[in-house]
Amino acid sequence: MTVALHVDNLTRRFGKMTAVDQASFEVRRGEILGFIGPNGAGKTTTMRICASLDLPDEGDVLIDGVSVLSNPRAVRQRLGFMPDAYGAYVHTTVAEYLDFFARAYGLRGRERTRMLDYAKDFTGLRPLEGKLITALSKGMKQRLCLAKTLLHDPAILILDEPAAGLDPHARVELRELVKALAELDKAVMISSHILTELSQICTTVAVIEAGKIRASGTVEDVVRQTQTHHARVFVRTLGPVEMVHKALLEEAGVEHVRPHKDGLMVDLEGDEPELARLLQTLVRRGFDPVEFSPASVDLEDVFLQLTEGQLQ
Amino acid sequence: MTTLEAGPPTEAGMLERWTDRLNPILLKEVRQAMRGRYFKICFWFTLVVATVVGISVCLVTIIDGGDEVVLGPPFFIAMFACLTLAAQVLVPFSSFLSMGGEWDENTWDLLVLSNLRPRQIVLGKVLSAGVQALLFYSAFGPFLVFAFLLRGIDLTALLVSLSISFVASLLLSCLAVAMSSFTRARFARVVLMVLLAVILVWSGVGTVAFGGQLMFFPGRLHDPELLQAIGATLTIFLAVAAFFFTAACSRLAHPEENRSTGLRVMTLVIIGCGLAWMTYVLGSSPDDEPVIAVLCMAFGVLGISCLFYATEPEALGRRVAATLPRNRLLAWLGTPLLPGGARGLLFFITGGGLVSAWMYLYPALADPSFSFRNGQAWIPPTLLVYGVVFLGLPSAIASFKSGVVLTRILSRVGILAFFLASLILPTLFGFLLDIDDWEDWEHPGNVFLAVDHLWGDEMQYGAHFLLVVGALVLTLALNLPRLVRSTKEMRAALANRDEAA
Repeated sequence: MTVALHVDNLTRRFGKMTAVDQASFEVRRGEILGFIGPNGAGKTTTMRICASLDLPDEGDVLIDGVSVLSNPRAVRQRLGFMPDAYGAYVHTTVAEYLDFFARAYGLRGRERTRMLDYAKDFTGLRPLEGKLITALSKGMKQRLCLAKTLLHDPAILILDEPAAGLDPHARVELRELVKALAELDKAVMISSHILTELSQICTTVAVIEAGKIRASGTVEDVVRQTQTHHARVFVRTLGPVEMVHKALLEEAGVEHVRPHKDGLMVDLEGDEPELARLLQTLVRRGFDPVEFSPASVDLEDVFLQLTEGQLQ
Repeated sequence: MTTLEAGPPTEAGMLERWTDRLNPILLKEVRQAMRGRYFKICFWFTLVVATVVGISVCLVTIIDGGDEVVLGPPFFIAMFACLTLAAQVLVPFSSFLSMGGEWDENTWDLLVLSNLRPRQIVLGKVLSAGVQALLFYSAFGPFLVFAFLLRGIDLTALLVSLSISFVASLLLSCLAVAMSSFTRARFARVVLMVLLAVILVWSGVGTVAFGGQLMFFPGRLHDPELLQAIGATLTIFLAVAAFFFTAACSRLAHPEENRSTGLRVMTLVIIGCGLAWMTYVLGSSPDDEPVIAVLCMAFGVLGISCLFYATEPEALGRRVAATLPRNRLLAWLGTPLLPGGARGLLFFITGGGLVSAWMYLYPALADPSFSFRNGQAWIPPTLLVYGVVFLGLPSAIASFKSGVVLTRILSRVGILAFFLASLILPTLFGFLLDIDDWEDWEHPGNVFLAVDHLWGDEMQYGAHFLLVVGALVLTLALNLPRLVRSTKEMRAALANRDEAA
């Protein structure tokens, strides 16, 4: 797959504070990159630089091979950015709003009509085209902004917290829209606090904290990277759970034990030999294990493990 | 760009196709204005006020004047005042609010992302103001026709008054958009809003007074001097409007983009317009008094504008470096027009040189027998030296931190303070140390006195001259590091561009 967005050693400082510190990652066509990090980690700054709204102090971003530094206008032709906070014009209907931006993007005549139809149909806004923007719900406003972002048919989409403030139903709809965009061979970079949402749609992730990229790659790669020398196992025994809990915490290498369903979820440092040793210990101490199964690690676990909630 | 699957294309209407070429901001602004409360309230309020004022003026004139009364001029003035209130106060004010709305409503980023250039955005806002003003003119049409039918109205005077009012409306809309683009800070915006309101009311009063003069004394329109003055005013109005337009565009551009070249060019255009009019008016009989007066004004405009140019951040900017002219000679010749504080000082020297060249060349070419009296020929270099010292000394000291906004503001304040201190402090020292000349403002810090002395050839060349030359040498020495850095930066930018090519 072609690299659509290439972030190369990006650094952005605001006075003495380094908001983004030598960040590097890339997004390919058809990929959905989940850009995750705690509040103030540098997500929005990175995305604004990628969208040519801000400039890095060092490094560069290439959008389809075009630099945001030297050719911002060409970048904006190839890229659609949906900011986390955006305004809507008063006294303007959905159709007028989209028509204005279609004209601003330089679309003319039939091409403009075609793209307006496409954006309205894709986002399901056609029944609302005569409605004033100020009367739209939050979910519908998000759809409107997405429709505006799609008008010039960009190859790369950057969506900053698009699911913020949406109800579960609207979130599912947005998720389906993003998946559909990736199927159209667009590169999508999306940031969100709702990691369960991201884990269902992302093919790759980049985890940022305090301006530094902590991990990046496919979801499986990142999980593998973070789980090297770490394992998680679900344990169910015939003996009383409290006693097993206490005994496990006394074992070397066990980092964390928490109740889970009718058993215990154990995080330990080590690989398969350490798991085997733990099982042997449980048997030897007479806890009668009836279930001992390695558990999968999700994006939320990876995020919590990689980040410590450091703010800039 | 990817290719999207879409349904069958639908036919765009004739109107849609016609509007394709129109500025999108213009369409949006007009649409919003027509639906917004501000325009509707202003429109109806102005019409109601015009009706009431018109009836009142007619009644008062009839009661006071008896049977021989001519109602046309007073009725026209009343209507013209109401129209001016709408076109020169309310419409530009709405432009200020509209520009500010882009920050307040968080829509600015969306405009930038849509790839609209700053000049398209500013042009759209100004054109929208023009359309709104035209709507007011058309609404006042029946009143103006009625005024004409009342007798005593000169059609030429009426048309000239309306034309000047419309040009002033456009100029003030440019000013309003420019002022609105200066800052996003709410407090500063309120201060600017008050300042703008004062300017708008003041200019409105001026236009009404001018219209009244034309209406009551239409014969003046046949006076060639008045026509020349109107021509010169309109030309300079348009050049100033273009300057405000460029100022708004550069404020809206990204800080790393070229925000200075356009303004520097427009400064030269304004000065050029003034000099061209003076050349036209004086023709083949130059007179030293107006020539030197215009020269001093040109240096004044140059000095005030360079207050900003000489204190700009020193760095060229990465996006500017990429857009330097391909031709190396052209790039080096254009250096004074490029952004950067050191290049701002070069701009002052270059601009001052051009203005001085006009003063020496025009009279010599127009009338070979013309010669400047006394020390008048030394006035341009004197003004140039004083300008370089006033601008160069504080800005060179602040140049090491010119990237910081506060330093730039302090640097500008510093230049003004230095200028005033040079005038006032020696006088105070004169009082304290009992130096008679200095006590009477006759000291080397007083540039006005220097010009006055050269005019009358009373300059004391000894100690004064040495002090001024000393200040110039100190200024050049302090500016040398940033001039060298600026040259190295240009060389590196040209080399990088060649390498990239």
